[in-house]
Amino acid sequence: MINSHKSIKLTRVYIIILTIGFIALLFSAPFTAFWYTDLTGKSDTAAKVLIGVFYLCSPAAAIVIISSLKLLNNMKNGMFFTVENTKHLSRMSWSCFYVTPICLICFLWFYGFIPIAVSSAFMFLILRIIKNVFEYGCEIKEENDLMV
Amino acid sequence: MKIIVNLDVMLAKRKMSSGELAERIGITQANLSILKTGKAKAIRFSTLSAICKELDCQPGDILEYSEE
Repeated sequence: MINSHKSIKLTRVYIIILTIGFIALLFSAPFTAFWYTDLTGKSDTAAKVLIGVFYLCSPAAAIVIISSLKLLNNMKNGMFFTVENTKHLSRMSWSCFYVTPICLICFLWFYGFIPIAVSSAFMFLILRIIKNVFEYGCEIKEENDLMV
Repeated sequence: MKIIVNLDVMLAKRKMSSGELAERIGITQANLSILKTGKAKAIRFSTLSAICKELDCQPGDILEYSEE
């Protein structure tokens, strides 16, 4: 059965796989983009757009990966409602927000960017809500810690 | 406006150490220190009644309201 410990472990494995894919793409993005546009019969401009979008969004992706790994590590150690976790969630949400307009602009070349833009905007909002919940949790925890 | 904890005064009057009180009422010294230094945000009735029982006093002897 899945429990909180297993789900944290599973998420860690998933993020590590994503990280490996991300690092591989960091080096192979130009080749992959041209290979993809050749395969789908799109112009070289489209490939350049894909490469540009990837490298523009990669800092945000790196922030999301690092923050989520740190967040999961804290959770594994039993530290849930901490100011540090709130900051990680905030960083992750702003990273999602940063990706949204880039994907919206790139919709001019690729329709496939629309679902990504919508998803990242949705993730931004969801993460903001979770961040606010964690912030409130921190306040309650502090109050509880200071109750004798 | 704040609540002042006069636990030190009562402990001195009863000639009791904080460690002894903490042990008698069943809380940690760290928690008693939070209460003594005024960092506590709340106090349970059970803790307050245990302190009053051990120090043979009233809640008003320990807690004081101040305008400043």
